Amino acid sequence: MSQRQLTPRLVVRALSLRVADAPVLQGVHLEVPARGVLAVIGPAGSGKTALLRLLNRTLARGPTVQVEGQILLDGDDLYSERQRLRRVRQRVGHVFPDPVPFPGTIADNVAYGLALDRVADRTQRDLKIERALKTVGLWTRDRAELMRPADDLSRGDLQLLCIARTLALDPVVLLLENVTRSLDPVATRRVERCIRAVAEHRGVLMLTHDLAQAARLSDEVVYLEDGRVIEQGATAQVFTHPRLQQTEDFLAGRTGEGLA
Amino acid sequence: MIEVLLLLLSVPIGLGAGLYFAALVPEDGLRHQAGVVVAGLSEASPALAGLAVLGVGLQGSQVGALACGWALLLVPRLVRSVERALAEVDPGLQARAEALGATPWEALRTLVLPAAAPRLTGLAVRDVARTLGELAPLLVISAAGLALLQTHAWVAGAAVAWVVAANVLATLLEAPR
Amino acid sequence: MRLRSPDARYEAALDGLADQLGQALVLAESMVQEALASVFERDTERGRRVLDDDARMDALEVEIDRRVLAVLALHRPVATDLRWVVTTSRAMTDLERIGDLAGAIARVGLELSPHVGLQPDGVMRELGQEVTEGLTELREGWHRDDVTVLGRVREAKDRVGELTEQARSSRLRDLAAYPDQAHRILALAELAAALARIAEHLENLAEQTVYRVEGRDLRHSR
Repeated sequence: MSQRQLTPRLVVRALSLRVADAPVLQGVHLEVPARGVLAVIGPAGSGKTALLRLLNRTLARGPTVQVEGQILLDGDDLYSERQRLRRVRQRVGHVFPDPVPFPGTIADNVAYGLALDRVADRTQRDLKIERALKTVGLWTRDRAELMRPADDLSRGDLQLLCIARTLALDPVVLLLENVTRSLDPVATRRVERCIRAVAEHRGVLMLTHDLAQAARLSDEVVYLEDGRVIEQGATAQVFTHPRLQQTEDFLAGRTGEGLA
Repeated sequence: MIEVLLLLLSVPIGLGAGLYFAALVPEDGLRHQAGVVVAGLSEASPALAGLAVLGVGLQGSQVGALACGWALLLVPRLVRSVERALAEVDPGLQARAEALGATPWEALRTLVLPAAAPRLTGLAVRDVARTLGELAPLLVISAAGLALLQTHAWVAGAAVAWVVAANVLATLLEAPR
Repeated sequence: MRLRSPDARYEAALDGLADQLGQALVLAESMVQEALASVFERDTERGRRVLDDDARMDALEVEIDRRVLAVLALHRPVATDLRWVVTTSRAMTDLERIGDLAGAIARVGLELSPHVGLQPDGVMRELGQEVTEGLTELREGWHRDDVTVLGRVREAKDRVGELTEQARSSRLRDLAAYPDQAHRILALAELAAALARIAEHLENLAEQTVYRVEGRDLRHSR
C-alpha cells in the first residue's frame, strides 16, 4: 500500500527540542502520510514521547522549553500564535496508553468533544458518533446498548471507545501512544484491526514498544535514538534489510547493556 | 444579619475555597504554607472555636458567637474534603479532556467535578454533621465560661494561654499533610 | 481447518504466496510436458518456448523469496503458518530446478530434431510418462494437502530408477553398435539423467508436503 502518491498532511522539519537546557530532540524530519500507519520506535529516553507531546502542542514553549523547527499540519505551523489550541487538538487527535472512561454512557463519551464545540445540530452529532463507533467496531443499532455506562466495558473495548472519542472530532492525523500496552493478546489484536481501519482514511502515527506490532501494522517506520532519527523507511524494507547496523541491532534486541 | 449570612454561606465558601486551593492555584511556596495552615485549622480542637464563641459572646451577640464557631470549624474541614475528593478522581481524566480540546477549566467543570461530586457530597455531609455535633457542647461550655468570666476574669487569660499553647504545639508536631 | 486471521494484510500476504507457488507448479508441469513433447514429437517450436519460460520461472523464484522474507520479518508466523511459508520457499527451489531441467530436455530436443538417426525408444517414453504423471500428482496433492502423495511419488521414483537402469544399458549397447551416432546417444543419456533428477525433486516436493501438513520431517528417511 504505497502512500507516496498522496501529500503527507503532517510534516515535521528540523525539529529540535531542549528542556531545561538538555537536548531532547535534534533535527528530526518526518512525515505522517495522509493514509496509513507510521510507527515510531526507539528505546526509552529516545525522545519519542516528547515528540508526540509536541505534535498536539501539549508541550508548550516556555522558559525551560525551547523548540526549533517546524511542525506543519496542512501547511499551517502548529506553534504559531494564530493557531487556536482547541482546533489543533481536534485536528491532531491523541489516544493515551491506558483507557480511562469519562463518567457517563458510551454515547456521552464519544460525544464529549462534540459537546465542547457546541455542535448544535443533533443529527450531525449523532451521525459523527455513529461513524466513530462504526470505525472502531463498537456500533450497534440498539440505543439501550449505547446508553450503558462506559465503565461497564472490558478493557479492550474501553480502549476502542477512547479511540472513537477522538475520531468523533474527525482528526486529520491520529497519534496513538502505546495504546495496547495494558491489553491482553486478543484485545490487542482487536485494537490493531481498528488501527488499520482508521488508517484507511487518515494518517496514524503510532508509538509502540512492541516491535512485532510495529512490523505487523505500519507501512513506514522511524527509528529514534537519543533524540535523532537513525533510520526511517518502508517497514518491509527496514525489517528485512535495514541500512544501518545500529537499526538491525535494535530490531534484533541486541541494544542495551553488556554489548560487546 | 452578618451572623446569619456567615452561617448560611459557610458551606459554599468552604467548598469554593477548597476548589480554589486544590484545583486552580499553582503549586508553589505560598500554596504550601496555606495548605499547612488549613490542615492545622481543620484539626483544630473545638476549643479554639470555643474561644471565638466566647470572645464574640462577650461582645453580646449570641448568634454571632454561634456563627463564628460554626464557620471556623466548618470551612477548613470543607476545604480538606474538596482536596480529597478531587485527588481521588483519576488524574487521566484531565489530560484526556484537554487532548480533546477542552481548556483546563472546561475539563474541571465538565468532567473532574462531576466525577468528584458523589465523593464530595459524602465528605461534606459528614463534615457538616460533625461540626453540628461539636457545636452543641461547645455552646454549653461557652455559656458556662461566660458566666464564669463574669465573676472570675483571670480564668479567661488562663484559658486563652492554655488553648493557644496546645494548638500551636499540635500544629507543630503534626507533619504537614 | 485453519481460522482466518483478522489481520487482512497477513492473510493477503499468505494468499499472494500461495498464488505465486500455484503458478510455479503449473509452469513446471507445462515446461516438462512441452519439453518432452519437443523431444518425442520433434517439435522444436515447443522446445524454444520452454527455454523462454525459464525466465518466467526465475522471476517467480525471486518474487517468492522476496515475499517469504517479508512475511517472516513483518508477521512472524508460527506453527502451521511458519511451516507453510518455509516449505513454500523450499518448494520454489525445487520447482526452479525442475524448470532448469526442462530446459535441458528442450535442448536435447533441439539437438536431436534436425538430424535423422536414433530415436528415443519405448523405455524413454515410459520414463517421460512416469515423470509427467508424477508431477501432475504432486501438483494436485500439494493443493489438496494430501500426504499420501509421498508414497506414490516414491513408487514413481523407484520405477524411474529401474527405467533409467534399462535406458543406460540400452545406450551402452547403442554406443557399441552405432559409434557414429555417439552425440545422439549421449543426448538421450542426458535426457534420462534429467528425468531422473526431476524425479528426485518430486520426492523433495512430496516430503515438503508432508512436513507442511503434519510437521514430520521425512527427508532422508528411506
